[in-house]
Amino acid sequence: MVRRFAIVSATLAAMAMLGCTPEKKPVADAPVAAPAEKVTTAELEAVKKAIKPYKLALVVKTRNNPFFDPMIKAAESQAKALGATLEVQAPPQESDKELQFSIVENLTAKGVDAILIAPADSKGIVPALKRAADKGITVINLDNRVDAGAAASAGLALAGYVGADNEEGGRLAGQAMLGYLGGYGKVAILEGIRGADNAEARKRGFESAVSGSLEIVARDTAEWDTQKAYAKFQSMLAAHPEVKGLFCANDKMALGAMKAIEETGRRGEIVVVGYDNIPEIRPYLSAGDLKATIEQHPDLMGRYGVLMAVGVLDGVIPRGREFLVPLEIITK
Amino acid sequence: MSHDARYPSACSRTRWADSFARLVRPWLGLALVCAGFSLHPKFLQTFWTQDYLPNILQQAGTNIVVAVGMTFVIMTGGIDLSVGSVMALCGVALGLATTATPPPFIAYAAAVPPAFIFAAATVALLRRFVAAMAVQARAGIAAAVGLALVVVIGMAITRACSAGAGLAMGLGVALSLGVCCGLFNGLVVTRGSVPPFVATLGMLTAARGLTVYATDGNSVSGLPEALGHVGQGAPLIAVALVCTAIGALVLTRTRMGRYITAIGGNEEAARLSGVNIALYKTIAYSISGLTAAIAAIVLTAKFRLADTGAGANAELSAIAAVVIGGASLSGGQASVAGSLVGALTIAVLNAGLVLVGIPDTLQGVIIGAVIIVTVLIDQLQRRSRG
Repeated sequence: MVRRFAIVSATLAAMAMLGCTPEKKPVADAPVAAPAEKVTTAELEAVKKAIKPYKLALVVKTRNNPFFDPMIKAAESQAKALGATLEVQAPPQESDKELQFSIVENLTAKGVDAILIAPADSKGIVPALKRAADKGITVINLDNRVDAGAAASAGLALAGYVGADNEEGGRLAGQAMLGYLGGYGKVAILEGIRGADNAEARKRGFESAVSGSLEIVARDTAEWDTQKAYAKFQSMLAAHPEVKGLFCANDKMALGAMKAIEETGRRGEIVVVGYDNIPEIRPYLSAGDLKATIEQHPDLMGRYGVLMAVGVLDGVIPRGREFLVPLEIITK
Repeated sequence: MSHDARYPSACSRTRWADSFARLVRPWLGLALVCAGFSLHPKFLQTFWTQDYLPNILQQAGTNIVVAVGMTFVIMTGGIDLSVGSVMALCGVALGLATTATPPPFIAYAAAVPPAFIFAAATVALLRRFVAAMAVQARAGIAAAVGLALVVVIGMAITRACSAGAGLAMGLGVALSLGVCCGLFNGLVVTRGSVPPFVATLGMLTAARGLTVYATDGNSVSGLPEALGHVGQGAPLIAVALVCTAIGALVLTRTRMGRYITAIGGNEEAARLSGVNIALYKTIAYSISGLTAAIAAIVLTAKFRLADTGAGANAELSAIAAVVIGGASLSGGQASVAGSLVGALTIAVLNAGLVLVGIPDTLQGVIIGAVIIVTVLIDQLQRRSRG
């Protein structure tokens, strides 16, 4: 047995040296170590009151993104209803990952009962969270997942996860696209920031839904940004005038892309599907410029995140459970 | 050696050749980039068409406008890192003043530039007509007049905006707020002797923070239809080109422009020849704030949406445009027309890389390389001349 293991590892080492490593999935594909047990809505709703006035801290990626506003507001009101206090902290920019790290460190030093975190950097945040958890702080992960591999190797056990299944959301968007295009045609994708867990998952979901039917002729990242999406899609459209559909990994990029479509005089010819259902997108939905978008209920993430944190602290919800908020496809 | 390039020898032929080379070099870079991409059939077919070419001007639009103001600041030997955040702040101010109630700080900040100008005018009048007045007394009067005006104008704006003031007011507030940020930068740099990099870095952070504070991170939508026209097609291109033209005229054909150039060339010499360094530097930063506000209006108009994340990294694109346009970051040498070409070069690069189908992971590398190579060639040229 031992010997066989030695042989296998020697072979692996040789393969690695020869540059033919056994097929390895990209890091972002790394599955959650073991699918965590789900907690039901009823179990969470059963948390009615905090035994003690817990001090909770919500750390989001930034306030500078309309997505987090409902999450913050819902978390604040839920905390109040349960008799806990909630403090909200966030870096000014989504890209300011180091600052989010220091925020967690400072909260740990200050001493709170629970940290609810939507990490800007799925891997980088792990050491800070590990230190918090070691100090006995209940760490609940919201929205963007903490990287399972990095957490496992650091010995970090999260107290819970509340978020949406981004891959499933991408799949829903892909199925909608399939429906609108009647099952065939050429499409383009505007992706979020490369390497971000949610961006990769949405893209993966969309691709898996349309593969075999639709041909993806252009893909590019516009880094979640309206203006970049406008410029990028203007060029994509010039290079691939045959494109019949476009999936944008968030609505802010869809806003930019729709402007580019409008200026090219091709309004109504290209099916655009977005993601997030931000308020600014409503007029475009009702005008039909945007065919569909995915609502992932950030308010519910905030609300159930607080319920889970208090439930875990009260001892009525076991640690390490996860809750996925329902996704919804919005077409009007 | 760059010193020599800035002060060409008396030989007029060399000077003529020098300025000609400086004028042509950015265009040459743009032509090279276009020619390089044109080797690819996809680019050749799609780029050089009547339908597509205006897109480049539109994509470059906001950057062209921001780069005009940046040229003034870089000409003085300074730098303005705050323009991207100031754009976001002005955009949000425009949105809030037009559709909702802006928080008081926006109204009062927007009241600062007119009050400042009026107070300065008062002092000038006093100096002319009341000769025997102590400097301190004049300063006191100026401060009192300025403060009173800020309060009065601020209250007037707040009242006017209490239920969405309409577009004209929104535009005024946005422009004035931009100038206010620039004015603040300028005063901190000149009166406070804070290095421009640090002063505007502070403003970069503060203005972004204020933007998010004003709206809780939400963007402002529902802007009037009329505004939308400014953000696209011919009006957008016109705004960009008019800003460039005015900027170029001011910088090369007015006393103010010559002083700003002189400050960048040799600040001490300019001071000794009686140029009011603090005044003209502050004006340069205020112009940068103004162009950031104009860019914000155009950007907000384009999507009829004031986004708190707007203008992220806009300062870097603008600085890149100015530098590609042949400016020297040590001051005294820059041209608004060059910056226009620089902004166009960046837009062509961005568009070309997508048209040709270079994966986005490599696009940044190529754009960065082009910036470095352009400036490198410029430096080598100067060294050979000097």
